[in-house]
Amino acid sequence: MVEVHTDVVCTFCGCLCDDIEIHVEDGKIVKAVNSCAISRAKFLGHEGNGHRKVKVSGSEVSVDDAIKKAAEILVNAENPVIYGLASTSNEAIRKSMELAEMVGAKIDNTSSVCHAPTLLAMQFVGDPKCTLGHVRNCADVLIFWGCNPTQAHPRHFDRYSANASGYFVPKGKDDKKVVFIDVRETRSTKKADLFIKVEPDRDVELAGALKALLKGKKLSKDTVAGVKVVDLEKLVEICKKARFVVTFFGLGLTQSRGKYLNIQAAIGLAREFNKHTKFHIIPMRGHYNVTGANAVMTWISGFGYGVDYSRGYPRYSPGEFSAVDALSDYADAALIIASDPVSNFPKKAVKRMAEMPLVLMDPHPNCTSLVSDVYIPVLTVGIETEGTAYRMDGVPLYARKVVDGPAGVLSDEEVLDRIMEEVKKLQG
Amino acid sequence: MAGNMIIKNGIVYDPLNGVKGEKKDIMIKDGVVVNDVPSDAKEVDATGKLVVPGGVEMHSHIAGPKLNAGRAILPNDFRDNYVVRTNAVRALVGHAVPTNYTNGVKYTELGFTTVFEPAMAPLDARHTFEELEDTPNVDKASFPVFGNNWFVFHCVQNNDIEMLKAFVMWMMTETKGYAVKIVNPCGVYMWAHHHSNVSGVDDVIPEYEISPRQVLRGLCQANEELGLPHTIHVHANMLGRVGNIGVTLDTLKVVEDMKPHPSREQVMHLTHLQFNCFAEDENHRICSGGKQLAEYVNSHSEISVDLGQVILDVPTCTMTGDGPAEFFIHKALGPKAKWINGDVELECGGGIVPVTYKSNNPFNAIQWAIGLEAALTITDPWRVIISTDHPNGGPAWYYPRVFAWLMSKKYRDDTLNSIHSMAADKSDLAGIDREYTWEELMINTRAAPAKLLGLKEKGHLGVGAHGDVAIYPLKPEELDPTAHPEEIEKNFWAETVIKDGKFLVKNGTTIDTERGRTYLIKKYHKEAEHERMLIDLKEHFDKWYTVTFKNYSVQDVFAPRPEVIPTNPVS
Repeated sequence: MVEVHTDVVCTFCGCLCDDIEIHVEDGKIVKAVNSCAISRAKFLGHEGNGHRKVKVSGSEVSVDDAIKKAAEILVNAENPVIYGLASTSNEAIRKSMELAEMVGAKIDNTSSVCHAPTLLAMQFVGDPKCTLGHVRNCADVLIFWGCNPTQAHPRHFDRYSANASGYFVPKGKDDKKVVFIDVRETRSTKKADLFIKVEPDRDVELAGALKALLKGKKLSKDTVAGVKVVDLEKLVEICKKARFVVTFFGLGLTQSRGKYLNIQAAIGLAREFNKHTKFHIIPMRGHYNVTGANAVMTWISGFGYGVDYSRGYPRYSPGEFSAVDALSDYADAALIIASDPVSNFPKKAVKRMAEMPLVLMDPHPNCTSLVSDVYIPVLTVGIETEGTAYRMDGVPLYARKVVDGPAGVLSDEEVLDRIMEEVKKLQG
Repeated sequence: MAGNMIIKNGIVYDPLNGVKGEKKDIMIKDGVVVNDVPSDAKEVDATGKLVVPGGVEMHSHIAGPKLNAGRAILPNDFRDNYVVRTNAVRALVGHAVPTNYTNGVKYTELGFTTVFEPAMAPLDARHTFEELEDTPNVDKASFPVFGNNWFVFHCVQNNDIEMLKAFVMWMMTETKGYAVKIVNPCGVYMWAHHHSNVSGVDDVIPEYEISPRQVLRGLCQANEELGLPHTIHVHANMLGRVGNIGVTLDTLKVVEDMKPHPSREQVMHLTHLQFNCFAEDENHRICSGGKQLAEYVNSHSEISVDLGQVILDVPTCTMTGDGPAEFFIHKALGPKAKWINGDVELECGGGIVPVTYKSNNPFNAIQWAIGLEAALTITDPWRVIISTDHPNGGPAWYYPRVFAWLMSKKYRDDTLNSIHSMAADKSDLAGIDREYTWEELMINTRAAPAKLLGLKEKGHLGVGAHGDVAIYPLKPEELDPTAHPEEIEKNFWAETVIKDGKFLVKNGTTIDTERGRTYLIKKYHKEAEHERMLIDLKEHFDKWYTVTFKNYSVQDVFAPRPEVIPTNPVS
């Protein structure tokens, strides 16, 4: 007997597509309709290799013992770090914040290694933005800057941007112009009506030149950042003539030289263009709930990432309290939630993580679990348990449960609740 | 469970029940005000002190994506304002755009126990409710915005009031809203889709060929016929523009002949009036329109208002569903102003610009005078509510200062004489002698907002009311506010706050927190009209939204302690 779940929210990337149809047979997902390749792999492969065993120091233990051990590690540490959060629900993130406050931890999410420069830039200038439905219905010019949606957000073009048809753009792609700014051609750039190949690390100059041209200034050079000025003039004209422009930008802009300055320049350009036409700028967020992680941390502490509770109130200092910096230098224990920093953090941080008391909560074993002292498998949000997540534009969706998780496996929320209970006992 | 208690010998102001500063005991049993309690009830000594119902805030931006975006661009607001956590209270941070936890605790310490969030983008409702859930103590609700919703336009365009009613009810219940909020009707649509705005109630917008007048009248009629507890809550067109008093008065006139629900006289609440009362002198410069508006309100019982009072020289942040207004403000403030715009598909928009209203700035000084001039000219205290439109005019934590300005002519004259002289030149404030009485102040901050919101158990201390009581370290029998306004400003922070019969604040310090109710509307619909509306609505979703119809509705987990208010539809 096949059970069909419609309107399922895919909890993989920041697109948070909510039109997935999941077919369940005998408690197993057998088919995912409307899913992209990544989403399909996530739904159909959610059971992993089936080895969701609770472990302390490599030996299988009960979840109660693991929770007790995790609480001990956090309470006994001088400078514990809680990190990850972008691939779990807001409900779990709220609990993580409470826990961080209780044990005086540093708490950080994965945005500190992806879109943190975006948040920094917004602190300087703000951000003219809109929801993805607004993009779909209105945008007649789309600029993709340092991002590759075809491979990272596979349904972005069809659902929201380049190919989507909407109220003011009924003919879809035919009603739109698509511009790509990138250092190389990608699968996505094939879509481009105009491809601007910028030299690596020179995006700030490019933004500056565009702003100057927009303001009617003449440039003294023929090329800027490896791009012919005539092409830049073309881009400015396309945008000025448009009724509605949206720029999407990715890690090509946030993590190349200049970092937050790149974003500040790009947002500055958007502000300037708004004197002529509607011009929005939206970050392409990766993990399905990294936007939620920033939002929850902000409404609980005032800051989106890189927060320290060691003094009993939240302090913010990227570069000091952010996970990479704390783990590479002074942290003496860590709780990783829904992430795998060992697979991608700098060597120094990984080396120290391997040596310090380390707790991991994640649906599946990963590189981090290989070196963790405590590993607590949890349910996958959006498949085995429900929870709130925010799309890359901030639209909140409630991800459903479609199948039961393995017996005895708890959700992030439940594990965090129980860790807090143990912490309270230990703290007296 | 809350115990029995008796609050003894306080000077009680309970305007709804005609209690005007009487020495009286207040008894609470099982969280509710009663006539009698057992002899072992806990005694609370309030001898000579001001004892009043918990305050009711009808318009304060305390939750949602707008507020959170404001926080994200104001890290300094948190760095500069913090209180270390204790065993009873989590860390408190922020001032203009505090964390939700801080908002809940500070409102309680001000003596307020009910706070409503007045602008919720329906698509973002879940976010708003998550933040409300993290706001402790206070009972709350939120107002979804309707004035630029495509489906509202669709109904108005077809002059289909029954479908509009069905849609309003659907939206209200599916997004767990409480009242119909209208922000710059048609103007936000024009900004979102045409990089423009509307300039008055009769501008016709393209695509739908309708005007703000039609949208206001349609939603007003739908609201009154559905019998929702509150009237339409309107942020008028042209906010923040010099000369907008004309448009504001036009907006009020639009509903002059509308028929109110039998339970009330009002058909419209004009919110944060200060921002919409900029008159114009012969040189097209700003002058106060506060008096002009007040005079209209005095002769029109169908209107209620709140102030949006400006607080000077305090960093704060404007945030509104009015995208074009914020675009205008950011341009006016120049390249250094931070600016967020946030258009929401098919529904609404919003903008954020941090500001500090400066006392030496003539424009800001006049803004300050407008709110007070209107408050002191409107004669009926039941129709004017004190607000700063937190945090737009200034943080709510300056309410005690606003109270002092209203209760003491001396105090506001001192301020008037210390700020830019244009405030005195371009307003009538200097000539107003009126001073609010204790009773009037308690009407403005308790009884009237509760009544206008249709909250029967709030804003008073009669039998059956919620056991929400604030005791202030102020002695109304001894203190002359005219002569000692500084006492008012200093001591309008509660010494004791009891919510549902439970102590939350003692000796001016928060000792406990709890989770408040969420007010919701009881679902009512005519089946046939509802079904007819759903056909159009589902098509609308399929065509234009990026969230599916099924995923739009807010799940019950987002309002875990609901209090459902019945509607009383007129057939």
